Amino acid sequence: MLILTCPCCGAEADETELASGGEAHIQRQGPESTDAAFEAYLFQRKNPSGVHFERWRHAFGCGKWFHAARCTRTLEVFGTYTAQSLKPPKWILDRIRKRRPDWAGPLP
Amino acid sequence: MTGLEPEPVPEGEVPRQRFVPESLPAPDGGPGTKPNSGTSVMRVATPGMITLRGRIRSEPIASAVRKAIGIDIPEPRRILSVDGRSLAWMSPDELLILTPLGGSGSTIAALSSALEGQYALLADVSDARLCFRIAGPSSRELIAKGCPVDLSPEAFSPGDFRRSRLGQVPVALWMPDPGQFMLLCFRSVSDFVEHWLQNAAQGEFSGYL
Ligand SMILES: [Zn+2]
Repeated sequence: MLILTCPCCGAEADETELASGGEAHIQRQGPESTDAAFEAYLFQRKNPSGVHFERWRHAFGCGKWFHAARCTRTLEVFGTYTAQSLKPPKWILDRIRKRRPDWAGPLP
Repeated sequence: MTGLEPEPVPEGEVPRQRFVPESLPAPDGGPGTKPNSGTSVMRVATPGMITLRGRIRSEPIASAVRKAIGIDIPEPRRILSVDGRSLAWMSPDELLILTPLGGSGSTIAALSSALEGQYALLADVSDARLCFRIAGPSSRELIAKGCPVDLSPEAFSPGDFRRSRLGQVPVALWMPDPGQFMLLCFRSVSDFVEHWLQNAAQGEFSGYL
């Protein structure tokens, strides 16, 4: 069972209260991008076994989107942070490195 | 013909049966469970309800709300009640104002004049939701059967307000006093929620989480 603390309302939300929004920090590609970049934006996902950054929505609660950093292998949650972040904040990365000293990215 | 006769069932098909909670077998108890001891589920008269959206923590909106209904903006996931009216925190930009039955009109008038010039949205949503009262010694356990919220007394008590789900539909919960819960759900799923709660009230209870 995955429990994420929603940074918008502070609730400890069970995964059944949440809607998954897939991989986080994907950069949108516009019409001027190359075909390869557009294909990657649409279809290619990291799907790592380990540290992962995701978007979630507190669908049955406050309704807001947020970001979460967690381990896909152990379900350990490193933290949740605001949806208004283009990159994971430093305190999240510090916490991940503390728990996974050998983690080598890739950074989103 | 009254229009209420069951539709003829085409040959070879099993007739659809309406779910009737009363027809469920009585609980026989089991290890670690205790039987239902007088926990009741009641549909209650729907209060007047108003949605207020905007920057609810900003000073102009907070003071307008205080002026109009005399209640401070509650902290996240909290509900404040004064003189029969309640203010519930729904999300970072949404409040739900509960008024006595039929009292939403005057409250909305007071709020809209107090909010004059502010960027905010007010809507009378009294018909959007229905209200249930769950009372009795096992009310925490009854709701916990279908709701992923920690409902232990240390985690949830009067003053808390939580939006979550019951079964698979969205609900909001709070406790007007230590012995009972109020539960709001959308009107369109209220029959389902009522059956769900009545069914849960008939079974045995095994804990909060
Ligand atoms: Zn939330």
